[in-house]
Amino acid sequence: MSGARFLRGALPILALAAIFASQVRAQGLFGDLGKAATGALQGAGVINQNQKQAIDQGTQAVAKSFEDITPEQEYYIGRAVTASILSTRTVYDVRAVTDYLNLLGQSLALASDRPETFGGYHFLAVDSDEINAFAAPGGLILVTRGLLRCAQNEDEVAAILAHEVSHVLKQHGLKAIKKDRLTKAVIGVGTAAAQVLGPKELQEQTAIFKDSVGDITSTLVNSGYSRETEYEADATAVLLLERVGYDPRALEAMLRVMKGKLKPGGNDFAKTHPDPELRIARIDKELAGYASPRPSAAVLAAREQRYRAALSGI
Amino acid sequence: MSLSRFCAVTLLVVSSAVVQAASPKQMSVVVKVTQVRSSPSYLGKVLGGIAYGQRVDVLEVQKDWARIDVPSKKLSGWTNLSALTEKRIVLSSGSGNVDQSASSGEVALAGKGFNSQIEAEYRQDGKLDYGWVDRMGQINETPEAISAFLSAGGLSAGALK
Repeated sequence: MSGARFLRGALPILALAAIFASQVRAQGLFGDLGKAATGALQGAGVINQNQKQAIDQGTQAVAKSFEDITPEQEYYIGRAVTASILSTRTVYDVRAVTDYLNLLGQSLALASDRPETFGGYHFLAVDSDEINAFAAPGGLILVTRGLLRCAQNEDEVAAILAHEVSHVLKQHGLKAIKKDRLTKAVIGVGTAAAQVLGPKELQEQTAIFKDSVGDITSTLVNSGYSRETEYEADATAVLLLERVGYDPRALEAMLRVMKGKLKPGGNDFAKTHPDPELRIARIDKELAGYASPRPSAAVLAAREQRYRAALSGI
Repeated sequence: MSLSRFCAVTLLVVSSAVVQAASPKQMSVVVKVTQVRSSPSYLGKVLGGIAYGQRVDVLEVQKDWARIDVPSKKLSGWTNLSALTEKRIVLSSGSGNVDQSASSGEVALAGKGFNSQIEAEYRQDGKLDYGWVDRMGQINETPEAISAFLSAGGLSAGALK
């Protein structure tokens, strides 16, 4: 077989290997395989040098993106984001509310595809009328009283928390960190396995940490995630609700109440989230043909009783 | 090299890497503390806890759970895979659980990037109050309480991983 014929035959496999390597999270073998594959594609004249570099850099960027943030680092980032958000807000410190949110939220988290994070999932209510929630990386989740008032029953509270847990599961917060920071943060410390940082490195890393926390906090508080990111959190929440046995349509019901309460120009979900109508339309597509569960009257009464016991004064 | 041989070699390399990744012999705990249970479920009886960085032997994997053995602690049972990583973790000095056997050539997760040392430095500016963050991290419902909560609400305790 001539070299040209061989390459023509091997191209689909090389292309697949390059795509596979760029998608797979693991580095090492797959990274090398990807570079070898792009090299062969370039050699065969399928891609030029610039395209090869772009693919290699893309593969490298994935390797040095949020996915390389370890659960331990995610934990410290999430703590700082939460501390920052709470620096201008007051916790609604009512034991019954905190217990209820954590029982419900941790139930959802344990049923999720990522039941354990470095420090676990924890929930607190924030004493604010604004309609808002903040899911910090690693699982620290804050929900305002204003948002909890949009829920009319336990299923709808579950819908709120499931949406926030989904942001943690999908690591949406970490994705808000600018990539150049991560490159410096994850690989910038040096090659030694375990070490205590020197004063200069400590200063540099702390500055990167502060900026990374700023990226996430600013996204959560000001700019919001992209519409697609919010739709993804809704879709994941719907699956989670269904898995545990809540009515997935509770998310739509809660959003309808929210729609009526949100004030245009408000400094809360009105600013950081897509219009509830748009979210409802997307959820409708997800739930096309889905029949809601029909719990017994006794079950509904039990949920109603504990919902009222915890949140009647919210 | 013929095309067929090239294809076979490529597939062998890729598939062996995938198989290797799917059934590791050893893993490390990647959360602060995780529980070892008598069965592959959060409803299983807790047999003991293992801390961040602990290396475990993986004997079997069932869905999201690994049956593990921790010879140094004489502990065997099931741990959720979300608490484990295939990478070796080298803890920072002073953390009390430094894996001295790790060399700089091994993959180290801890001791790099954002850690407790960075947080301590970050908190120096004094404007941030971590009081509630620390309190929040202590709020843990037991699996028994969660199971009872789900059952009382007519929900599926079986949905727990």
